[in-house]
Amino acid sequence: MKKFLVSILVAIFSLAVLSFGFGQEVELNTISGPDVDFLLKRAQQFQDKTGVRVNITVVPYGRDQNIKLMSSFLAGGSQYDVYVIDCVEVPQYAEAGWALPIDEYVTPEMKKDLLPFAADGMIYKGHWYGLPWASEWKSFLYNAAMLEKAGYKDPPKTWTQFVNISKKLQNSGIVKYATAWSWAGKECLICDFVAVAASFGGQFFDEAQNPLFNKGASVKALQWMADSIYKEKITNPASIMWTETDVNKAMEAGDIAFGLRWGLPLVPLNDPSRSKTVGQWKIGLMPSVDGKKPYTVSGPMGWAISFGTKHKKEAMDFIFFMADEKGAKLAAIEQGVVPGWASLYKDPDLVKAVPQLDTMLEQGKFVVNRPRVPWYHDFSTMFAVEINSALAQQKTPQQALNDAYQKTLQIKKDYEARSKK
Amino acid sequence: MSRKTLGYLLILPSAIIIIVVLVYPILYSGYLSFFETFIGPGTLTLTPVGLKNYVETIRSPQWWWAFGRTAYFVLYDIVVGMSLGLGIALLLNKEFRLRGVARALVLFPYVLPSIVKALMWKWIYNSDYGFLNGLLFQLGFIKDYIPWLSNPALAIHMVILANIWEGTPFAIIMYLAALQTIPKELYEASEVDGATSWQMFTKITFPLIKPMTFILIVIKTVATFKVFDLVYALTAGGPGGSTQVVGYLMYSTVFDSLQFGKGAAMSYILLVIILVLVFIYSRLFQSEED
Repeated sequence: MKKFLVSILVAIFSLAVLSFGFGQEVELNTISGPDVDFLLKRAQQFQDKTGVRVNITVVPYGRDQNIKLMSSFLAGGSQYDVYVIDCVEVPQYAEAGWALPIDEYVTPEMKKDLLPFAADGMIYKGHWYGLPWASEWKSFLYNAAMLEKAGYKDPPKTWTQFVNISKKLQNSGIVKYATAWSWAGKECLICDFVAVAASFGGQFFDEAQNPLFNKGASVKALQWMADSIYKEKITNPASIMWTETDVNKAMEAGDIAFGLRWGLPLVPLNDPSRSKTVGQWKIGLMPSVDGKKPYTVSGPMGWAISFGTKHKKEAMDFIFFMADEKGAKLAAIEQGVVPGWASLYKDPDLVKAVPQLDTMLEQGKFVVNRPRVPWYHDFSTMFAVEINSALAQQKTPQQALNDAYQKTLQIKKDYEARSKK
Repeated sequence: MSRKTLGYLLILPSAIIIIVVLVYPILYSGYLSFFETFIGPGTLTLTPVGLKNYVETIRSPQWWWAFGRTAYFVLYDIVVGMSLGLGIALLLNKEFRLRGVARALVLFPYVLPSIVKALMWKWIYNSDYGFLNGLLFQLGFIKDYIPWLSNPALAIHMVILANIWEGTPFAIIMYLAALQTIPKELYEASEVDGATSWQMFTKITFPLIKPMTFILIVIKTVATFKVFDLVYALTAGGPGGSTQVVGYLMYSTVFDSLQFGKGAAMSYILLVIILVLVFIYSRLFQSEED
């Protein structure tokens, strides 16, 4: 009797183990930053359409996903099937073989319709490593209602005007701090620094990818950023620990009058389910030191497929579901994701749903890129901490940039030396 | 099958888990510490470099700054955390109404997951809406809200405060257990002899809880030197690296800079330092007992 019972138990156990491998639904895994509502909705729609479930891991800051992604790649790359890849990550991921090339899926018709800047962000050494998704730059926004209360009709064109208007807004009691920035020691700070430095006429890197940021206008730009907190007192001091999510919330809550934002910013700002300042915000050109350099930073992103995915077909289906013309249109209208498809900018639904699209596109003519080099991740980690040190007054801006310059040269040299081995 | 063989078979599953989860990673990280790692095309490349990772770490000002900050953490945790823990344990050792409820409530910080605690404190310290600013402002202690986590000098102390709040319940439980082993007759006898409360504490209580004090110092040193999750969630090592402790530096070295070998070397250096500290503690306590 005992032997019979043991045999039954073993049989049931074996059946359970065997059945685990068969008839298992295909599931895809992806990873995302905290603004995940739209992705959750689309993942459910994808599952309803194809039967393929998409599991999402959420990290507190979008670019924190890199650490998890890289760990997963080193372990075989099957933990995440699809992910959003930033333009600055494409060279490293491509060189390391972590992103699958998707050349054969990008048709000539698609290439014709994609914005060159969006396509370039996903191409490395002639191969496509992602389907353009958020083909964006940071827009400068001002709360027109607040400015009107303070007696201003137009947004500032120069940084001097920006400071003066900010002080008037604060002195009038309209806001406590006129502005806030995403200056936490992460990639968001580098993006803001690149934008402000370009608006001062500074350069980040030369064409040979040598650093130029510790000279002239770039140093002045970092000094201005620090002064805006401690001298002019128009920037919320908490900015040095804030990411874009915190700035977005402050804008939506009406705590600040000026801010930079990715995407189609008026879409979420005019969404009554999340914003208390519906209809108050407008897009302006980025202020600059002389009003003639309204430069901002670009950051096109795309959907990519992990080299270790066991479901390549389903992964391709998902990224096209999210980022093809139809998917991109929905994302633009509902979530404010900037589409990479040129034809969509003439789509009447999009034009109707996205206020001030023309001003946004005008800003798109004045964008600067971050360097697209395989050692960008190491550089970014170091550089963000250095300029955050300057903003936290641990170092002077010149010292921070000089230190960053030396470390950048070393990172570049180390990478090139190892690549030759 | 003999009892001995059966015994080995029964502990085999646990042993396998311990070897896989504990022993293998310790040995492998020790092995990695002698290599320089590089993410090459499609793979992780290991280049043997001998003791280079150890030498670079020991020579690195960044390492020693992080170590100094962490030691500062540990000092606060031991001095303030244990004093608070002992004080509260002495109170909870007295008879009073709802003592059971009070004892359960003090455990609250201890049972919450670390990340929940960190996020809770992040909101308490929020510069615009935080409870701490609101309370101090209402009480008239501050004229303006303070960006607690954006000021390098303040940020580290805010993290220490959160860490003390988190760690004190453990000290309370341990001291409470130790206090309950002290025979009441000793206090009764001393009371008859006319001893004051302070004399009872210094002559009876404190000497008898010394072994527990030693254990707590060792545990808190080890635990606080490893502090990571609180720093990660509250400040991510900022602002300007002012809250970068060794735990976060190791994490950043391994996961941000992908220098697995160097991160492993740092962890072994930290292990040696902690072992030296524990050795010093045990000598100090032993000489006192002698």
